[in-house]
Amino acid sequence: MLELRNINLKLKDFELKDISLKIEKGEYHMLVGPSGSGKTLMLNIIAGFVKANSGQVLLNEKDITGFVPQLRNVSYLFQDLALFPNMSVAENVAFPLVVRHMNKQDIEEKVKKYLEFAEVYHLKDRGVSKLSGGEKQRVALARNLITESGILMLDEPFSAIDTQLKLSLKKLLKKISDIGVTIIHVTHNPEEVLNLADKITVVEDGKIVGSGNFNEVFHTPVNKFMAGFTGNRNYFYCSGVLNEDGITYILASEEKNCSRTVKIEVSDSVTTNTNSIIIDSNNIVISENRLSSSARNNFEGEIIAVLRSENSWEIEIDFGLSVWVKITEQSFVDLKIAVGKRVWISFKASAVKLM
Amino acid sequence: MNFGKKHIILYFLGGLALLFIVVPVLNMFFATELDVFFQTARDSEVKNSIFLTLWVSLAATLLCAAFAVPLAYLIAKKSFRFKTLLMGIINIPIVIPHSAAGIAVLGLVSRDTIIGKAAATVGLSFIDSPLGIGVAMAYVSLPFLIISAINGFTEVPEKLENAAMNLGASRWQTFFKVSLPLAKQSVFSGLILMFSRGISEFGAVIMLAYFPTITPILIYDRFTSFGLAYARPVAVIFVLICLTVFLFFYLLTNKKRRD
Repeated sequence: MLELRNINLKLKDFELKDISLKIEKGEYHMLVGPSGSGKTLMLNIIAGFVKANSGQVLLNEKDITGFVPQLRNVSYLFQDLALFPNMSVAENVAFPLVVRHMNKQDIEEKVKKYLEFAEVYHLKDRGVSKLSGGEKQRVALARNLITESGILMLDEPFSAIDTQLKLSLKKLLKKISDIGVTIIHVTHNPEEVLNLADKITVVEDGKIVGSGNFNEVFHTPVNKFMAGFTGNRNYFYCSGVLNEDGITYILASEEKNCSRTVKIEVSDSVTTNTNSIIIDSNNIVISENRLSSSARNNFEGEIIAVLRSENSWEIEIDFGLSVWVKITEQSFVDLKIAVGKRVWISFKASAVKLM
Repeated sequence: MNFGKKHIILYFLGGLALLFIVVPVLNMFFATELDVFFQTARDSEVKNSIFLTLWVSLAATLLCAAFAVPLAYLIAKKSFRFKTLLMGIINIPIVIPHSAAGIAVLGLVSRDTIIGKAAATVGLSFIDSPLGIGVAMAYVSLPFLIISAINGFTEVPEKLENAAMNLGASRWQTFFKVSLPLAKQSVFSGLILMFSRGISEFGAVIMLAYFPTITPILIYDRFTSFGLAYARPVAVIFVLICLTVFLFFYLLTNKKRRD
């Protein structure tokens, strides 16, 4: 088990604040968050390349905080792979064993085993500069696995490869996970999380804002980033609650503690834990004129962006909040949708989910 | 880039600069008669001086590399205050006149100094000896090696060194298996530059050791004693040797790069 305990680090223009995290043996754990949120910095602290101001890193309950990187035995696959250009594929993979002074025959056997595992044994004599992006990934993974550390940290491993190669790499990572290797994978790609994660930790502005198993975190977004990450773009902060004639309204805003709010009717009862809402983009109706329906959430706004998606259109409308609405091809034509056009939107209280 | 007629002035000016480099050397070659050339080549004083010049410069280069390469690595990889100042200090031997550099070194190692006396106790002397020649050559040529090696180490990505350590390599293993092999091109170029600069040194060496005579001093000696006609064949032979050595290392470096 790997544990970060109350890690704090203050840099010139960034801060990691009280990071505590437990990663169980054999777990596929994803660190998710926007760029610059501190995910890679966390990996660097675990690997020993960055020293925290306070806190501990524990590996199998042993405090490794003061250990130099080469004694930590936590394998780290860098974003740019960091294959040694002065060595062949086999020499790269053998490197961790050569520096451990293992005998030549054992090295050859293990190199063969791990290159075969990564399905790149046929490339063993090739120079790394002559490999494709996908081949490089596999060689780098074999080099990490040969350390048999049991923990593999991946920093955005899919960032430099094309869509076709992503699938085969995902299968390989699944295979690595299945043999019991604990994986810590940094990403900001929802598809990778959906395909691979057992557990997810969400990082924002140097803080852990949520952590749990896949279903908990993926389906209950803890912040605006995660809401967008899981396809819920209409995430707004709750800046206040109103009760008028027995009807509950949320004062919703784009940012936390923002004075510019919009009164949204909600159906669920608001608790002290409610700090945000999500409006379901599939349940918002657009019309050229105000609809006479039972829905109390009727607003006039301006179309500010139009995006085509598969068999539908996504329209962004500013009515005090910027809300995304999904409409069909037919509605798009009928309503003569265009940027700058003023339209009405309407949604029921039941379309608003309290978070 | 299209270099058309409008660049004719650039061609002309550039050509003049090139001629300025090539013509004196070619003129020196053509002005030397072949029989004088071969006669000089058989002269034992010339042969001894060339051999002395080459081996002392080579020894000075290799010995200094043991100190210069680690220094270059530290400068390239560490951030510290006064780094710019340190780079300036390293360049001192290049920017001061070489005769002044020779005087400076002489002041440190002459027989009446602490270093001179200490050397004397083990039977060594910096004055009029290969040791003195080597020290003078090293002083003026060392910056070329250090600067070239710094450039080489700077270009080795920190990620590769971090990856090596993450894979279990100690700092020494990382240096010898990753950093140095990746910077070897620049380190090797630095060694060639230092060696080449060493064999052509005159000003600093003459302050410490007129004898035994290195070739640049022999050329000067023959010129002042017998005139241009006697100095020129020695210069031609030495220039040919320098160019051959330079060409050999240049081809070797290029081969390494291609490999």
